[in-house]
Amino acid sequence: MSALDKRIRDAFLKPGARRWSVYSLLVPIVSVLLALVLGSVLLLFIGINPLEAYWYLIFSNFSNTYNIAEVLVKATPIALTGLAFTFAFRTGLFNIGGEGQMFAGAMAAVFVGLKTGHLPPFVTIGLCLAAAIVAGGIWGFIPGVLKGVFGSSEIIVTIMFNYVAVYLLSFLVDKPLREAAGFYPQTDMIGENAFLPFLIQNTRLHIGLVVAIILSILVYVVLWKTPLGFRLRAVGYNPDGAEYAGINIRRNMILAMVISGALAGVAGFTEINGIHHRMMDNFSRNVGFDGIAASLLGGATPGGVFVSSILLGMLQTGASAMQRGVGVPANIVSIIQALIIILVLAGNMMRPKLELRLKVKRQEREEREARQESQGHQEGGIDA
Amino acid sequence: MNDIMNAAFFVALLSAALRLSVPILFAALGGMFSERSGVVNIGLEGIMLTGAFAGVVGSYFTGSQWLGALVAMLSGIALAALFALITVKVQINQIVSGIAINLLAVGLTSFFFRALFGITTTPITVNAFSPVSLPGLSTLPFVGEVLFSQTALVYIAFLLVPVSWFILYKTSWGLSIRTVGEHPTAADTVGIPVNRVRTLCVLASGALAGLGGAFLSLGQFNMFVDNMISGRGFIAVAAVIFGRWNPKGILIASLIFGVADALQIRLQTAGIGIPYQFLLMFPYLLTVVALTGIVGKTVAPKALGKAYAK
Repeated sequence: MSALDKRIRDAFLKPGARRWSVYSLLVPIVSVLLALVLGSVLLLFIGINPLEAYWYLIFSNFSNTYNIAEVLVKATPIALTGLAFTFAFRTGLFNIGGEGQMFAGAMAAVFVGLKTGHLPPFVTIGLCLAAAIVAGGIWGFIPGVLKGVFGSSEIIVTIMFNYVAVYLLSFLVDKPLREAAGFYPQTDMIGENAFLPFLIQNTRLHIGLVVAIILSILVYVVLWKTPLGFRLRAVGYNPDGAEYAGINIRRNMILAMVISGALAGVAGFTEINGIHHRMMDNFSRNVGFDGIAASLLGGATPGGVFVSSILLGMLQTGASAMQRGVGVPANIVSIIQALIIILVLAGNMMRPKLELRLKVKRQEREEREARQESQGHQEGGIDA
Repeated sequence: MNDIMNAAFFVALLSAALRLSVPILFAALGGMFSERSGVVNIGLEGIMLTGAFAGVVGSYFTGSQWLGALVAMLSGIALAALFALITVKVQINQIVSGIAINLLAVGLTSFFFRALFGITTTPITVNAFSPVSLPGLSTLPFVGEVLFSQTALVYIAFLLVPVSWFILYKTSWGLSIRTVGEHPTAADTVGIPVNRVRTLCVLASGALAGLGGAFLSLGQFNMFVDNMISGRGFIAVAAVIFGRWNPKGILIASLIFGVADALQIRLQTAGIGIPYQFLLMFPYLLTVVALTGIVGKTVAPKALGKAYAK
């Protein structure tokens, strides 16, 4: 092992580098349950039986194939924007701009879909995807460069760029890309060849889910199994140490923002080509922020993000059923989601303390057992 | 072109600009206190939304817009207290906490609005603030109409600018706030309770952002609708940065953003070359430019965003 590798490795194996423990699962599960309990207080407040409401919230999702598919339809873009947040997060950056990057991807996808929708499906879909990746990447590149060159906070710049994207989209559907009929602020339908194939008939579940799964695996491999990912995580874990070890921090930060933006851009592509088939004002709002929630709930690991996005998808589709079934405003899901974020993070803050206690207890037990064992030996010795 | 360039147009434009800058000014002044003490509060958006909602509820049940504004401030403080608890005490990341607060506010306001008023198609009407003409001053040509025929909250907002300046730079509280935001360890050494100062500043930001929200629901639209803040809280965050964390700068930033907003509303009807969406982008782009430091240096409080643990 070279001296450089050794220094990077040392930076990683420092105490506090989080390893898997029982709390990796316990914190999110307890947080979700606790959030539901707190939500039930609100339900009681407006005189609704929480058990009945939660029955709808959870089990309506499994009542038929369409509903199950719908959960995955909702989960797909959340998983992608969640991956986007995760990727930047692992490099020590807060990309709050998943929303804007997704819109950038959507704008590019719809533009290309409108222009090339007559080409063979394989070609036009590929072009839409490529355009979305490039556009999302650019939307991440700008804050990345500003961070790298001027030291501007990527947090604030990405938040600002969310709104720039929202208004750019609003302009596009208002003027240059407005539908030929001219009634609504929306584009025409993209060519049918650009529609993503459906996975299950008579549902809206499209191949975007497969794209999300592939990208989840890819992100895992890149971040944890390649030298590039090693460098990126080194920058995130200990920037000073990484720089000392000869890693170019600026270049890696910019690269992370580009990849992060591109991932969110793909969410725009799946929403346009898979679901809406056109772009309108106010489409798919908040998916970028749902992605942040999924990433935090999933411990910023690709697998965790995927599972969490399915959970969030369940909450969102279940909420509509709950509103129809027992008349609970569907927005209670926003409350539950916010509580989950707060509780997970609070749980993670307490985790070192809890883990320490766990460790101390285990040590005490081991010592006690060792003592008993040695006593047993001694007693045996006396008998003999 | 001609008829939009006359004096009446400018009076209407500037008067509207002033009104539109007020909610941003309230929230940004609040955000300034929070950020000067070292806490980034991007939950301003959600706190404003809560203020807008609570203002309408308060005015509806008490029949007084003033009590409505008070309820709005209190609800803003309540949400800010939660924010302070999780960021200053539990020390969760401030940005993520802000996002959670915004999400929470969207859910809570919409949930309780339906719980209280049912699903209504006609917006409920409440007592709201009406313009108060200042005797003498309001009859002045041009200025009178622009500056002195506004609602009471507008005057309060602009009075808060020198007041905040005085508190921040001329009182020992202000010195404590600035020290805590620049160098918490030093502040601690000289006996300033760092986390208590931060908590109080966050609560102040809650009160002011709540009032800013109430201005929208009780002084401008006279009703509550879901998500009615639509980004103004983030513009306030932008105004704090663009205004370089001081009251004078924030006043200028809020006014610039107010003019851009007033102009875009008029552009939508006037149909001039520039698409109105580009004016809506303006505050955000301006803030990004300010953050690059190309035009003058933008120096944030040194301990901004970092929790303080002894």
